[in-house]
Amino acid sequence: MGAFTRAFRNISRRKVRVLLVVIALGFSIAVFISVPAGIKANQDITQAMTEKYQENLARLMEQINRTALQIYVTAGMPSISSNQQTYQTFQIPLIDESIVDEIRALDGVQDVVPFLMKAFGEKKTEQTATSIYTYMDIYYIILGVPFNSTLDDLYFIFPCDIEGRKPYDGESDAVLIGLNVSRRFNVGVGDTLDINGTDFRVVGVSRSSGLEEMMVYMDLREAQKILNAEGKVEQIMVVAKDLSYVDKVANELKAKYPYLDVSTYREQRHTAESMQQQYEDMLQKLAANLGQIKGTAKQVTLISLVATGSMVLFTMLYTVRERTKEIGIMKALGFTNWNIMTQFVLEGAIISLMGGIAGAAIGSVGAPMLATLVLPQLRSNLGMWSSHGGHSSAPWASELSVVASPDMQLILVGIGIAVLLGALGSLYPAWRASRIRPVEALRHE
Amino acid sequence: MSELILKAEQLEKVYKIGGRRVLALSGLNLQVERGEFISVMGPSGSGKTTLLNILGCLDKPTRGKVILDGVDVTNLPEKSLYEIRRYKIGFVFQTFNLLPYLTAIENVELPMEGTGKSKDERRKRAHELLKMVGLSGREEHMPHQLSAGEQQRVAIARALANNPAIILADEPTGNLDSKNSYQIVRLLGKLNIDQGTTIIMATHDRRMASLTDKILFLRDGRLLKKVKKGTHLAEKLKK
Repeated sequence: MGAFTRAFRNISRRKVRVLLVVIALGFSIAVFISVPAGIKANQDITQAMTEKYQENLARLMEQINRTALQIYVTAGMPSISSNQQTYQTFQIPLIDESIVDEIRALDGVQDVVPFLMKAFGEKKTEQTATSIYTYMDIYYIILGVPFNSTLDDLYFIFPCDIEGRKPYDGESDAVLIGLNVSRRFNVGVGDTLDINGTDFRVVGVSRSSGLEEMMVYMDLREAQKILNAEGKVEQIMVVAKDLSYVDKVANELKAKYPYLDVSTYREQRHTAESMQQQYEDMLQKLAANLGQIKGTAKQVTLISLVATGSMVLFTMLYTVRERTKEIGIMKALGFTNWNIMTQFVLEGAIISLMGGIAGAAIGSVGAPMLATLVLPQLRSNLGMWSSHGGHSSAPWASELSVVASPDMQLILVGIGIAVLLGALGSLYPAWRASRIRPVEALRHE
Repeated sequence: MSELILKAEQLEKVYKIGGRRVLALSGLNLQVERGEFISVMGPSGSGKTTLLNILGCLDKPTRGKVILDGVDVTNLPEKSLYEIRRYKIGFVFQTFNLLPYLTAIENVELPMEGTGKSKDERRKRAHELLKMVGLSGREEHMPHQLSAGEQQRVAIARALANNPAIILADEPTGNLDSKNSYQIVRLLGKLNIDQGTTIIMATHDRRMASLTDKILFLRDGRLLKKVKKGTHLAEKLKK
């Protein structure tokens, strides 16, 4: 039986009081642990978002720059026709292929790539209790392109992420298909796919998502045959030699073929630039917000620690008062001031250790909730991201969420602070206890 | 010639209560020989407790001096007083003053803490002492599980823990019925006779006082008279 046993016995005698101190201290330490974890999580997210955003923006800019030289020539926008019952197609006005060579001969033109596209599917009717509606179930979209690896290298005609390979130059019986087509017809690399009565070898399956899932890339000549559109194309991509030629070529095309639709990618570039500006503004705002949050966090943590420290102080003062007679007895039995003082500091430290451990437990589990509870600004900071995530250019924002998990070092510091707080909070009461004159203490009831 | 264990010279104690000076002890002289069992009687407020507190180094006199076992303790620093309280004096209080959260044996062990005795030695000694006061088998009882008489026995065992030169008992029977009171004084008398422990007991109870070697009467902080009682108790114990 020693000071420790006495401390534990005394603590267990005052369960409710100790529990209250432990809860208060635990909450305070949990805040101490959670708030920096929340801030760090916020910083990490901002960092991750910034990296991802910049990466995407760079890709977009690269794409824009690459396509900045491209001018698209069509005969008008596609429209869906429903004059057939079984097969539906995009009814797209076609262009005579002969103009491809005329365009190629123009000054400032580097390359000309013709395309032919047509969708195949089935018109479906569905009946509900109140209405009947029809829709187009697309099986696949044939995209006829020149099988030319040089053009593909320059202008990315085929998707990049594929299983198998891209078709070789002039490989007229080969097709590259999208994932949906592969699944719908249960065909993979090496299998044969019947398209409109003609068999094609599947040499590659694209893994890309979006419209590419439904594509069947085939050689332009084969597509023209299958679609009964020999000598016709649907779209022509004209590539200028350099940026200075883009407007000149576009204007010349407009003048020469007034019935065709000519468009450049100049506008897209403007959009991307304004997006970047928006993003930079937001980043600045975020940084300012985070600075403010940090300031508030310091205040909140300090206030909570001071409040808890005071609570320990008053509780221990009360305990000392309550145990004055015991102090007198111990002095009569020969215990020194130091013995008495260490006894009370020890008790304060043990209670605080319990509070610290409770705080570490609460903080480890509830850090994300506690951090946003104490600092609601953290959530609104994140809200900026998700609202920006609504923007089509940053859909990845919704993939990230706050995961504030305090690290071990922070938890240990938290427990240490709790013990220190308890020891400091009980120091003055303990000192007072040790100074009580034995006669007075013994008289105390 | 008998050896003096305690000598108080011209003791004076003045309290200030609400700005008024109250004289608790006034020029008191006292000599106690080793092995004596003395009772101090007097009405409430006569200064019995003040005298015992000063003799036990729990309080300091306003004037005069106390010589305990050859040492003038009047002006000793606090640190030395702790040692004197620990090794030279054993206290027995009216309200027992056991620590409520410690068992009987732990209460007895308490004064031995920090004396250099090992845990086993402390426990062994505490066992012996509890046996001596007739509490074998009740070592692990908490104070509230013991009767008043038993609690006072534990307190006596605790007072004896460090084999003190003198036991100061302040109204040790004040909270006990007459049967228990008699047994406690008898126990103190037995310790006095068997071990030669010097005992000073403050009491209201004339019957209990009559069992001691000598009775001192206090009134208004002065020693009124000494009454020699002879070997009354010793004779009873021999029977």
